[in-house]
Formats: sequence, C-alpha cells, structure tokens
Amino acid sequence: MHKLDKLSGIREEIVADIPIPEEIFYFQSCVASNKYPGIESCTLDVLNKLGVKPFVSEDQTCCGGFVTFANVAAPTASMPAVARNISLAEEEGLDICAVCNGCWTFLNEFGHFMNGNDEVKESVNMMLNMMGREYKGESNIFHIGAMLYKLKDRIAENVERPLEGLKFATHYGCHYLGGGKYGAIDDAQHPSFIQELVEIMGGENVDYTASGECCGTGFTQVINDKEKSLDHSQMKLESVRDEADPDFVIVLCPYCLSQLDRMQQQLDYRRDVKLDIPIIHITQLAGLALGLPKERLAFDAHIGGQDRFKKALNKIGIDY
Amino acid sequence: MSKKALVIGGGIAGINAAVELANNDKLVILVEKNGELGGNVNDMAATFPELDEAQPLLDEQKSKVEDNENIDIKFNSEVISVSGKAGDFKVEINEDGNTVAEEVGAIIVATGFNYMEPNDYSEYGYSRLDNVVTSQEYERMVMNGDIKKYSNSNVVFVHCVGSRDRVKGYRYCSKICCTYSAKHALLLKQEVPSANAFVFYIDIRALGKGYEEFIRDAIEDYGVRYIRGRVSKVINKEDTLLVKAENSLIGNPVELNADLVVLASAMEPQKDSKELAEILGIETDDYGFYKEAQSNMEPVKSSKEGIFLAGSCTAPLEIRESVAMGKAAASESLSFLG
Ligand SMILES: Cc1cc2nc3c(=O)[nH]c(=O)nc-3n(C[C@H](O)[C@H](O)[C@H](O)COP(=O)(O)OP(=O)(O)OC[C@H]3O[C@@H](n4cnc5c(N)ncnc54)[C@H](O)[C@@H]3O)c2cc1C
Ligand code: SF4
Repeated sequence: MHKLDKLSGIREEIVADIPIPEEIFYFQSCVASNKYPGIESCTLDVLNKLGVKPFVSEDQTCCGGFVTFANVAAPTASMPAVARNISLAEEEGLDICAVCNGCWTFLNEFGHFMNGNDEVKESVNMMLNMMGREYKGESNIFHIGAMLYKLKDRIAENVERPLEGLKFATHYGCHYLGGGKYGAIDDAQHPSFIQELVEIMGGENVDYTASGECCGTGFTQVINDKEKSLDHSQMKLESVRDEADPDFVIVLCPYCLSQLDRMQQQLDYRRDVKLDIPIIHITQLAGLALGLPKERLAFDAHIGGQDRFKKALNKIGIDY
Repeated sequence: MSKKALVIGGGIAGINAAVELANNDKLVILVEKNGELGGNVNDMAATFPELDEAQPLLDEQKSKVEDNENIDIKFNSEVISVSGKAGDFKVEINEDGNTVAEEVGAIIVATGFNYMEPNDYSEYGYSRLDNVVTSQEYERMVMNGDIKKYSNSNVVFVHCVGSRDRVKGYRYCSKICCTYSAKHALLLKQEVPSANAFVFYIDIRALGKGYEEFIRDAIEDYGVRYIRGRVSKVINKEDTLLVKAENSLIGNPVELNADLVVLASAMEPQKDSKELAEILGIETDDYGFYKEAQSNMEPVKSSKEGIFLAGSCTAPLEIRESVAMGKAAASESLSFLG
C-alpha cells in the first residue's frame, strides 16, 4: 500500500552521512537487556557478522530517559547521565549505536542541546569533572535500524535463511520518526526502510491502517491511566490482526516491543481479546535472516504470539 | 526613448498589460516561457465569486492579444540579459533556441506563481496515496468530469497546506485558498449533489468583494460542512482514506472516511524568480516574490526605474487583482515609451 515507486521518503543525505565503522559503542538498553535478551544477543551477533565490532562497556548506565519520560524528575536531572554515558564512547573514540528509540532520541536530543548551550554544557561538566570525566560532544549517535539500512548490501550478501513465505508488518515508533528531528533516516508519516530490508531478506510486507499509531505506552499514560493505554494498544493490535495478519511485527524499540507484546496477555485476561501476534525487534529480524540459532534469537522471552511463533519459525526450518 | 515595451509572462496579468499598451499605440514584445498563453488560469474550471466558466473568459482575453498587430508574442522564450536604463533598455531574448536582441523603453514583469507540490507534508499522503490531490489537480478533475465518480462519497478539503507554517512551508497566507476551496466544495455539490463536502479550516479569510457571501452560500445553501481544526493525518483504510483531525470548537478528535482529499497548497514564487530578478536588477522579498518600490503607494513599481510588476509574481493574488495590476503597470510604463 505504500507507494515506494511513487515517492520514497528516505533521506538519502542522512544515510550518506552514516559511517560504516570497524567498531561501534553498543549502547545497552534497560528494557532490551532485562526483558528481551534476544535483542542484545542478536545485536552483538548481527553486528559481528556484518563486520562491525560491537564494544560493550561495563560502566554504562540507563540513558536517563526513563525518569524524564515518566515525569519523575526534571529533564536537567538526567542530563549528567546522558553526558557521562556519551563520554564513555568518546573515551574509546567511538560512535554510539542505540537499539532503542528512547535511548537514541534521548542521547541525540540532549547531546544536541548541550552542544548548543555552553552554559548547560559547563554546568554538566562540573559534575562530570568530580567523577574525573568530561563530556566533549564528539561521538555521533546512530540507531541500529539506520545502521542496518546502511549495511543493507552486506545483509543481502549474508542472508543464510531467506524469509520466504513469511509476512511482516511494521511499527516504527513515535520516538524514532516523530522525535527524530536530528537524523531519522526516513519520512515520519510514510516510512519504508524496514520494508526494504524485509524485501532484501526475502519476506513479504503487509500493511494495516494503524501502522503509524503509537504502541500505547505514551509513558505517563501507561503509568497513570492504564485503561487508556490498553484501549490504544487494543485498537492497534486489532488492526494488525484483522487487516494484515502478519507472522511478525517488526519494531525499532524495545519499549514498543514490550507494550505490544505484553499487552496481548493483559487484553486477554482483562477483556477477553484474543491476539496471537509475534512482535520482534529489527535486530531479531536480521538475526533470523542471517541464520542465528534460536537460542540467540530468544523468542521464548516473548509473551504474546507464541503459537504463531511456532508456526512461522517451523516454516523456515527452525525447530521451535 | 524606445516606443516598444517588454512584457515578461503571458498569464492573465501579462495579457492585460500587453493589451493596454497596444491600445495606447505602443508596440509590445510579450515573452512567454511556455507554448501557450494564460498561465495558471488554464488549469481552472470556474472562477469565484460568480462561478463563471473560466475557459471562455480566458479565451476572450487570449484572443485580444493573439489578434493584435501591435503585440509580438514570443513563445517558449525567456529573457537572458538586460542592460541600459529606463527608456533605453537593451534586452536579449532566447526565442525558441535563438538569441534575439531588442530595445525597449519599459519592462513589465508578470511571471506569476508556482503551485507548491505538497510532498513535504507526508502526513497528508500526497504522492503516496491514491485519491489525495492538490486543489489545482481538482480543478482539472472538474473540467474533465472526473469528479462525477464521487457520487455518495465524502470529499475532504484541507486549508492552509504549506501556508501559515514557518516550519515546513511559508509564513504567509496564500490569501485566496479559503475562497477557492469554497468554490471547489460548491462545484462538487452542484455537479454531484449526493456527495458530502467537508472543509477543515483554521479561520476563514474571505478578503475580497463578494467572497464572504460566496463562502456563506456554500455553507448555508449547499450544506458544505465546515469544521474548524487541522487534519493531523490521512491514511489508507482498506480501499478508502481515513482522515484524522480535530474539531477545535468542540475540542474533540474527529475521524472521517473519505474518498477524495483535496489539499489547498500554497501559491509560491516561481522557482527561478530570483534568477530573473538578478538579470533584471530588481529586488525580491525573502520568499522570492518581487518587491514593490513602496508597499502602500507604489504597488506596481519595482525597485528599479522603468521596470514594473503585475500579478501574482508579487504575492498570492486572485484574477481580479492581477488584471488590475497589469493595467496599472501598463499605464505607468507609458511615460517611458517615446
Ligand atoms: C487552485 C486554484 C484556483 C484558483 N481559483 C481562482 C478563482 O476562482 N478566481 C480567481 O480570481 N483566482 C483564482 N486563482 C488565482 C489565479 O490562478 C491567479 O490569480 C492568476 O493565475 C494570476 O495570474 P498571473 O498572470 O499573475 O500569473 P500566472 O497565471 O501564473 O501566469 C504567469 C505566466 O508567466 C509565465 N512565466 C513564468 N516565468 C516566466 C519567465 N521567466 N519568462 C517568461 N514567462 C514566464 C508562465 O508560463 C505563465 O504563463 C486560483 C488559483 C489556484 C491555484
Ligand atoms: S487563504 Fe485561507 S486557506 Fe489559504 S492560507 Fe490563508 S487562511 Fe489558509
């Protein structure tokens, strides 16, 4: 339904500026590392397979976004966390690769803010100096989705498990497209780069009306007004089920994944809504196509869509 | 002083300037970039505020130039250089591939506007979804009868696409889209009475004689539904479109199934307006519209003596005002023509 032939919104000038480094600072995500370990293992393995060595830091903390998004603290309170985390990559002379829309937006926007406001940068650095660190603003922050798009030729050369006969729908996530003022590679309303990757991997793309809708987290909403959050996720997931009926929904963000995945169980318990939709991260999609073993894909950590997982994975020869 | 005048642009403003000069026994060279006269009015079905048929009106105007022996029309032509001063300009024209030199006493710039392609407004799906068109494309659909297929359908008109938007579009208001959108809704109701017309607006600017009454008629006599609020997005829903918007009078979100969405895109300066300004040595505003010598008292004088401005190359304008400027510019040129 997206007319890629008519007008692609991919911002080629931004893609052109993404480097293909030998090594990159892999920015761990709280949600990915704790709830969906498959995102982490797939990121590490996929980057290695594509010739980019991931660097993992023991010292990295949460990006700091959570406290801000959840209205727990003023944005300035998490600024030092952003600066400190970026300084770890600067120390290694590396750019950063984030696997989460939240981490990516947060590091990008706050980094941008500090770089443009000397006073803020100085006051943040006063705090960092106490820890013997300094924030310079030298590392770039890239989203893993954009990195994979940049590496699409290498992906094409390395497909070991073509995704033939499988249907894929997408959910890009508000905080990549809408929040990505500084460097999202695609159009906010008609994105297409995941579909392009799916095609390269041999899968079929399917569309649904609510593809551009929020997953339903809307941070304060899921915390303060769960019913509203459930309403929204239900609307979205029913649109997926009834219009697209995909084998997988690809997301760019672990938090979207968590919402769309776990709300399926809650919708069943609370409202008797039956859904069986596997939600997976873009690195797990790449992991599937590049032939990673099922232990590294770790789909058993997902709550929703387990029957469909089995059917779909069996189709491409994975004994699940 | 040369007796000849140069008019650049053969739209409705340029036509009227040329005819007025010719009627005063002046020789006119009319340089038109395209192969036909009439400019943007060629794409028009009917005109507000009287709903006159546009093409017969335009044909009448064209014939006044075409049949006039004082007017030398150069099609597929552009001005490539200008030197000299008021009363004695030397110009070079690329006429269909050949360079010709002319001497003229005065120059009238009437190069018109460009209709913005709203590709940056991907929220509305233009160029991506079927059945999302610009207002100018809609005029064509009225002319060739394409709108007839929208019986029992919902047609949504969206105001201010690319205008009044300092982020992705232009800060200015395009001035006449409120009125031509009412015209479009009204034409729909006349041609296809079973169709429903919805117009999403910020506020209604009906700045011209008879415009307010025209819009009120669309609402009161034809049942066009006006909803105050912005459209946030247009998406595909099975084989129709889903329009998501707000109704800011009630304060609620609105969802509407639509079969056709019409975008009132911005009237912008011609893409090459700054280059022509450079050739002529005249000033433009920040957008690229040509700048008057003084905005209140000298509406048709450019920043350079002997060069005059007419029509929508100065700002988004309707026909009536473009015509008036064409005639006024002709009259002011007379004093530089021997
Ligand atoms: C959708 C829509 C609906 C409208 N409906 C109405 C309506 O109902 N009533 C109304 O009053 N107005 C209406 N208008 C406005 C109307 O189109 C304009 O007022 C009118 O076209 C202005 O005439 P113009 O001569 O200034 O410019 P144009 O019509 O743009 O003509 C300019 C001419 O100059 C030529 N040109 C451009 N650059 C050069 C160059 N460098 N060298 C040589 N030639 C050049 C062009 O090819 C063109 O022929 C509408 C506009 C739109 C977009
Ligand atoms: S004339 Fe009306 S529709 Fe056009 S830009 Fe101005 S307010 Fe918007």
